[in-house]
Amino acid sequence: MIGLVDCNSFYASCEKLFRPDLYRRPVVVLSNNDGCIVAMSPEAKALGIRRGVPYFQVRSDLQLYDAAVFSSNYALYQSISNRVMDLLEELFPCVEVYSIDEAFVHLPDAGAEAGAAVQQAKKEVDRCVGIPVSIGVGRTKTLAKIANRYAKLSGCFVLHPEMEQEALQSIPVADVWGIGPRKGRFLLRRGIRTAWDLRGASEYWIKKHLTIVTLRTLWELQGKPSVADEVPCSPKKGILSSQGFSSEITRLEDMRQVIAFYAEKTAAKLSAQGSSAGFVTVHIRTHRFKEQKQYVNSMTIRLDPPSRYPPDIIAAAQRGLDRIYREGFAYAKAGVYLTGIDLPESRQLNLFCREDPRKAAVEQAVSDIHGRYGRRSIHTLGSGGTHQWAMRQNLLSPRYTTRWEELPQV
Amino acid sequence: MYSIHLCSNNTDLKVPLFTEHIAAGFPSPASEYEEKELDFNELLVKRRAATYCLRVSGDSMKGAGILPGDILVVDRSVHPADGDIVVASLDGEFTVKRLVRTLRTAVLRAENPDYKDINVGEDRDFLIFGVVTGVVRTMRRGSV
Repeated sequence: MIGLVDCNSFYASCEKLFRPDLYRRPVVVLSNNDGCIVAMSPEAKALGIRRGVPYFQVRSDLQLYDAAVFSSNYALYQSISNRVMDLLEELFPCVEVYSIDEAFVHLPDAGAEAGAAVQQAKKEVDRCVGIPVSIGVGRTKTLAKIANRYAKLSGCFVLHPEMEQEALQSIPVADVWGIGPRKGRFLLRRGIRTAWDLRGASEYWIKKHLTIVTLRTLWELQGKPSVADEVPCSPKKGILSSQGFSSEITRLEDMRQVIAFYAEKTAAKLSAQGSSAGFVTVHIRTHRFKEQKQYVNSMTIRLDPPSRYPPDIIAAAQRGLDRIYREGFAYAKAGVYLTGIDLPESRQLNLFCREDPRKAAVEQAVSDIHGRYGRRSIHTLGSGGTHQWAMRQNLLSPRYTTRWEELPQV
Repeated sequence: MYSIHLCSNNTDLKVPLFTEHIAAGFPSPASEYEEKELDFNELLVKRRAATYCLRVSGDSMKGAGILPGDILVVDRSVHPADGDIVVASLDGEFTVKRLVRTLRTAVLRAENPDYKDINVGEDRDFLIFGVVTGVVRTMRRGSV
């Protein structure tokens, strides 16, 4: 069986963790530019606040009900997320981190044992990290996602095979993982209204009118695992910086800037642990769940000798991008992944290529300036001066778990 | 310089680190006894995922050696027992006190005669955040 662990109202729960004054108050978190509501605590949901609503529309309501409003504090959310995932890795043999607040866990046992295992895991995460989670269990990832909807009520829910019909009949087809509103409307017009209808649809017809993605969803609903593992097998051996974009990117120029930005971020992480990378992988993709021309590609460039010098990593990433970039697609996600990471002690010197001592001097100077004036105070030219994705964060909470100066007070 | 090639998969080659030097001289008589250096994390943090740091403000626990500005190491995985120092939320605020527990009641006790015991009755909004397992203090200005 497969379990989906989902942190309840994750961003809002993180904001509450060190603010006991907010334990019973409505809390909302805003999107990157303080534009829309992206997360609501249960109290905020009860006020009828919906995800995706522009902040200005509900501002006065929120004030009226004494709600606390926050900008997205990614440093905090990532730190708390790491704790949740670390704990899950202690509890389950195999954990696939799916997003900042979701992970699939593989359960060796079925039936009652699976139920007990997830109950126990839920309690542990709630108690140790302080973040409430719900866990849905099913025969496949898609069924685990559906089980998770029921788990929202009780904390844990195991969707046993004999219960699947009843459960699937009550799930609108558009709510099935990977279907979405557009495909949902298309299916609805053909009389496929629920997850159960989709499960019994003709494979031939689905393949003809939709993509292989939808066919896989159908198999998953039938209990046949068909969605491949998303994550690179051992994320700890590599450093990844990757994100979906708020608006799709259609120009190489823009993409080069994005890639430089991510490359610089990975280089900073590398530098922080004093390692060098031997390989830079660049990855781009279109929106997987949209019915449009799809393109996915990645390329790995070797760094010889291994390096952690940002310009080396940016240059390699951009070179890889130039090779795989194709015009005419709307890109929704990109990332830079570093592998072949060595530890400083085990570094082998390349006999024929001496390291340029000026690189170390530049690295030191940049790191000093960052330490004193903040992460983006100076940066490489390629990663851009003004970003469309540069954030407005007027309501930011402290980075409670990652900065000594910002620890919660007691 | 870079060379470009396509990798179907990323592998990494681990190069073993030989600590045993082959030197033209006498081997160090201590080399066989070499041990890992001391690590403060090992001492202070038992469960990383469950451990949080909080900064002390106020002197209510000075008798227990907890002073303003200190960093508390708080482990949420530890079950709070009678006599433990805990961080609790009380009526919407964090407080650090000693937990004195009897069968029926729980009292939060300061380690400073200027503060009264706090009875944690059912009328109060009370939750234990975690058990204090360590205190970190640096002795020079300018450090964290």
